[in-house]
Formats: sequence, structure tokens, C-alpha cells
Amino acid sequence: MEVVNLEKALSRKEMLSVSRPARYIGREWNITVKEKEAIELSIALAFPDLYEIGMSHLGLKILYHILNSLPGVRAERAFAPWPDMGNMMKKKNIPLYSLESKIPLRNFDAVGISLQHELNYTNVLYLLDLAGIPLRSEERGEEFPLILGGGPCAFNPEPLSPFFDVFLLGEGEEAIVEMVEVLKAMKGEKREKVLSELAKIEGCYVPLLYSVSYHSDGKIKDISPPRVVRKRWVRDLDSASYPQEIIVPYLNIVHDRIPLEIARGCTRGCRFCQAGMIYRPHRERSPEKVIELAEKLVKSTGYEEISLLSLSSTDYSNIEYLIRELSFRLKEDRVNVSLPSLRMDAFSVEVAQSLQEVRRSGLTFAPEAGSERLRRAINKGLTDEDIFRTVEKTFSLGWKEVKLYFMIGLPGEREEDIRDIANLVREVLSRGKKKGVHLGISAFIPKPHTPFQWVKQEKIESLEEKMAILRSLLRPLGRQVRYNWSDFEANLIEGALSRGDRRVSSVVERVYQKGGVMDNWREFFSLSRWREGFEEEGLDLDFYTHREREREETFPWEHLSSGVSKEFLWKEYQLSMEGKITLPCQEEERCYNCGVC
Amino acid sequence: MDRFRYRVKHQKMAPFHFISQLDLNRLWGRALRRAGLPIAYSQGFNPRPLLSFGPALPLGVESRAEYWDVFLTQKLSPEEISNALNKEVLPELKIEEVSSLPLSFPSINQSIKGVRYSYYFPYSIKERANLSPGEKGVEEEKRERVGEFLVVLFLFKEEKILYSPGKWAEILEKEWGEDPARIVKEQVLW
Repeated sequence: MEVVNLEKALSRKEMLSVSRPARYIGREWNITVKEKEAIELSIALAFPDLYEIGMSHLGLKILYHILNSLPGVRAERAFAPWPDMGNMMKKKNIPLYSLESKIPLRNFDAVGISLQHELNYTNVLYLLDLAGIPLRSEERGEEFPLILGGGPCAFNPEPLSPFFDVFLLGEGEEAIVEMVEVLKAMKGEKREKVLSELAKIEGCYVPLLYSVSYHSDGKIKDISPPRVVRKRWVRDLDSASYPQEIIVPYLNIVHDRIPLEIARGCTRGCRFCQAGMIYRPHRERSPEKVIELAEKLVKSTGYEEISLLSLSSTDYSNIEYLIRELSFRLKEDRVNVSLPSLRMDAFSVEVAQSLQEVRRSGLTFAPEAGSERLRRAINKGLTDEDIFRTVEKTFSLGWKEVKLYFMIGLPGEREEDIRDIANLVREVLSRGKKKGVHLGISAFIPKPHTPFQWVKQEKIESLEEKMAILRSLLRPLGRQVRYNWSDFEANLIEGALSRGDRRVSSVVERVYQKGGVMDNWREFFSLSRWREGFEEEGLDLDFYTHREREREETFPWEHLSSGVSKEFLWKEYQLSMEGKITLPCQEEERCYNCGVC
Repeated sequence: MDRFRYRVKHQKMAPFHFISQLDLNRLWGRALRRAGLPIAYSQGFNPRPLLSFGPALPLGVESRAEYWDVFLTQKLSPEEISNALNKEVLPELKIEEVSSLPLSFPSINQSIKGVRYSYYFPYSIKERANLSPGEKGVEEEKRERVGEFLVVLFLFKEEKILYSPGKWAEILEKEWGEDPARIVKEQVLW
């Protein structure tokens, strides 16, 4: 078996010349290296971003665990190297290799690529290129691995469709096992046959089997065959496979703690939120199961912190009991419990207080919009009073700062909504002496499978004007207010890719060929490179971003279903324009027939 | 609460020489916890395992003689500690020795009297590398052929005890025209 000998390939000095060489050596605790087992199928799990980002991702840990628990299956990891290392690898002819056994990716049977973010798309090509795998599926001979994709971006993977063989829509716990069965049974068979067999698995989308035609105005005329791929979701989280050992990295990764998923999906139905739509329905892992996993994971990793993950942790039915029980059992091991997402109410603040988190610096909330009117429009039904009461409670319990997230460029937003962000901040400051506010402002990006999939994305100039107004209003509030905002140029491209069609794939390829990598890192992103890419491909960037779609328009993702119906999303969009709230769904008691259950 | 102090000696061989000192500190904290050893924690809101490390080893330098001290809340035999820890780390970080120390014993940094490093060069430089560059406190002790390498052993002492072996590599490269393929910290003199 061909393996990369890194010590031979790169000298000590060369390794020291790249930033954080520990990213490239593997040998972490709890990795699986199958040395003795006869391997029938090998799958590389590749993450199109830096080690520290990819290693923080829960989905990767789950799939790694499931795949390696299957007899005869080898799953190993790879990440996108930082460009200093990427260039070094190209110069020295070192192919992208797996961290565990240092096997070149092109020698695996399949490479699964996680699609978490649109600005990683050029990195997908970067991974393939470094691996010496031809970018386009049609250019790949039978000797190359199958390229599989999954993650939230698989719900509209069209801008990547020529580069992949199969996308999996939705949750992978069960589907990956079915896919492995097919891949094992059909090893050595022609790719075409394997793909048509994989396409029979629910949730598997083989883009090659679909063709798209366009009207003269650029809109989609037809996607054929009219066969819809429906996402996969796990019915019962307690019986879903969850790792009891996770890899403990040496580097200080972004989320360097035990991720313990307590719930999946969200009942709130915020209209801008793609996760809230595509991860439906809401499911919980039982407290007993969570506690059992927590104790095993603490033992197997030695981690000092557990984060209870879900889209809205304090919506978990028995969060108080769970935290009390966990804190009690983990006290002796000095393990902290943390919550990543707090609902904006007094209850959540009390829950956070009960965690007795060490760094009492700040609590984070997401009001998302400045005025009650606009919050109703996006279905974030917080009143101003809710916000003030929550903040007051936060300050009174000793936190020194609140971090508040807002979006600008929301559908239906007026100048007064921007002014209201500043008004809100002013009022928040008046509720606590010597307290601070940290504002995070990001541009709203319309996403597929949400009620706002029809709307036009706001232009950069207009966002900048709004930001200028906001800055001028925040300035008089002094140094108690800190704020930062997202990169509007990068947000624009994220929007174009998120609602892009198949034709956009040649833009992605062109941008990569022009040197575009690590687009989600400010130091590497270049709007002009993307503008050139669109121009040179004869595509209009505005068509994808700044265009209001009609109700009947056929979306590039029309054949891909999250389970939530287009009718439901349209109705939600209409309610948004009327400023009407849709209360959280409660299974039988309050169902809006979104279609997923 | 009772406190018992132990000094741990371990290796840090390739590829772990690319893991920084800070990363290594975290690693040992977690390995101790996995091993279930009765670690003493610092007081206060953010309790941390009571560990104290010797001088930081620069990135890219291997070692057969790294040291840190740990405080436990129970008296254990050094063998118990070393066996428990060796189950929780890879062989490149093998625990060589654990010794029990009085609580008041001087720190690692205070006790070091000298450090031996070996520098691995391609054997072909043998002719060029006649004399080692003169530097007060750095003494060439030995050179020998090991496989394809010319291994030169230096002792860093006196004011050069904590001198950077990487800096020394740069000086050697200037003089001998070759960067060492490996640098290994061989021994600490107490």
C-alpha cells in the first residue's frame, strides 16, 4: 500500500516553515487505525476547511465512528491544508493523504466531503486537486474514488454537481450504512452501475441522473426526471449511533470540548434560518442517554468541558434536570457543562447561572432584528420587554456583558429598524451600570428551503449605508458598546452560491483555477476574483443574488426535498410580509402541516 | 488537603516534536484525567490541574528527557503512576520515569545544571564540519557516525542552559552549510 512518509518528504526546516505543522501529523488520541483487519472498503472523510474547523464538527465525528465500527471498513480523515502547506505539498509532489495511515486520498474507494458552508466550495476543488483526483466526475476514470457529499449545502448542491458522484440529503447515521453495503457489494463494478444502485437509497442524489434546461431569461425551465429526492432523518435519537470515544486533538481547535448533541431540529420556525427548516422535526435525546454518553466520553477523552448541543438548548424539555444531574455527576472530574445557544428569556439566564460557568464575562443572545415589527416578520417573536428583562436578569446575576447578534438586510427592513437596533442597545445599557454590550452584525443571506428563498439579497452598497447609520448612532454610546460586522462581499458570494444552479459550477472551477482557496478566510477572499469568474462564464451575479423570485419559479433545488413543502414556505413568506407570527409547532397540539413529519 | 509531588520524565519523539509546549500541557492534563489519577486542582473558579513544566522545548526539537511535576491528592507508587499514564499516551511520549519528591523540592528550572542535545547531520558534511563554532557555554562533547548521520553531541551549560537549540542550529548551518535533519534533547544534568 502506498503511503506518504512525511518525515522523508519534508525536512524539519520545511515543516517548521508552515504554520502549525501539528495539523498535518495525525497521531491523535482515540483515532482508529485498522492495521490487522482485512479492509473491504476504505472511505476518506475530507473536510474542506482547516483542521481546527473540521475537527470541531460533530457530523464528522459521528460518521467516523459509525464507519469504523463496521467490520472491513476503514474511515480516515483529511482536512484542507493552510495554503502555506498546500503550496509546499504541490511543490514537493506530496498528494493529499489521510491523517491516520497517511494513505493518498486517491487510493481510497470513496471520499466523503462535508459541505457545511458555501464559501468552502473552492476548497472542495482544492482538496480534489491536492489529492490528484480530476475535478469533474466525467473526467474521472474507474481507478479514482467515488466522491460523496453531505451536510447542509447538499440541499442545494447544484453549484458543485459536476464534481460529485453522489450527495446525501439529510442525516447520515442510517444512510451511510446502506451506502456502504452497496459500495461493498458492488466493488469493482462499473461506476455507472454503482451510481444507479446508490440512487435507489432514499436521500441519495446522483446529479448525473438529472438534466436541467433553461428559459432564455436564464430561469430554469425543467429538471428531469421529475423524481424528487427526499432527505433522510433519524426517527429516534436514543437509538441513533453516537460516538463514545472521540478524537482528542493536540491543537487548540475551535470547539475544543466534548460535543454532546441533546436535540436535533428546532420548533421555532425563524423564517431566515435554514437549519430550523432542514433539520426538522425537533427530536430529543433522553436525559438518561445524554448522561450515559457524557460519562463515557469524559472517561475516554479526559476533556474538561462538555457542550450540550442543539439549535436551541433551553428548549430541551428537561434541561434543568439534565444540567443538575450532569453537574452533580461530573463535579468530581471537574468537568464544566456549557450551552452554546441561549433563548432570550429569564429561564435561559437562570439555566446559564446554574452552570456556574467559569468565565463570567458575557452571555450571548440573538434578537436578530431591532424592532418588534421586524422580529415578527422573521418570526422571532421577542418583544422589546422580553429583551430588556432578559438583559436585566443577566446583569443582575453578575455577567458583565451581553453579546447580541443582529442581522441587517432582512426582507421588509426599513431605516427605522436599523435605528431601533441602536435604541435597543441604548436601553440595554441603561439597565446595567458599568455593563457592556458586544454587537455582532451580519448581513442576511436568503437560503434555499426557507420562507425567504424567494427574496432578493440586499446590495453591498445598501448594507454599507445601513452600517454607516448604525455606526453613527452607536458612536455616542461610548466604549461600553463594541461591535463588529460580517464581510458583506463574502456574504454576497455566499448568497450567490447558496441559491446557485448547475451553471455556477463553472464559476466555482474558474475561481479555483484563478487561485481562489480558503474563501471563508478574509485574508484569502477576493470579490473581484468571483466577479471575474461570473463574467467570464457569461453569468450574471445579480441574477442569483439581487432578484426577487416569482412564486412559480422552478428553483435549482426543486427536485431536492427537505420534507418541508414549498406551499408551507410560501405561506410563511406571506405571513412574514403581513407581520404575522407563527408559534412554535407542538406535534399534535399545534401542527402547521409543514410536511416533514 | 494532602498533596504529593511527583516528577515525571517522558519522551517527545517525532512527530510529536511538531506539537507546541502549550498543546502538550493540555495533552498531559487530559491524559492524567483519563488515567483517573487523583490530581490536585488549583483553587478558585477555574480549577486547573496542578502541573508545572520545565523549560519549553522549541517546536521541531525531539526529546528523550522532558520533565514536569504534578501534585496528587493521594500517595501512589511511582510505578503505578507511570503505568497508568503510559496507557493514555502514544509510545512517542512514553513515560520513562516517575519519582516522588518532597513538596518543597526546587522547581525543574531551578535544578537544571546542563542540557545535552544531539544534532543529526548528513554524514557527508564530516569534512566541512571541522571545528564547532566557539560559543561560551556550549561545548561539543562527541561526534559519531550513526547510520547515514553524523551525530554531534553538544552540552549547553552555565549561562547557556536555557539557550535555544534552534538558534544553535542556525549558527551551525552558517558554519557548516547544512541544517540538521534532527535535533534531539538527550539528557538533562541536575
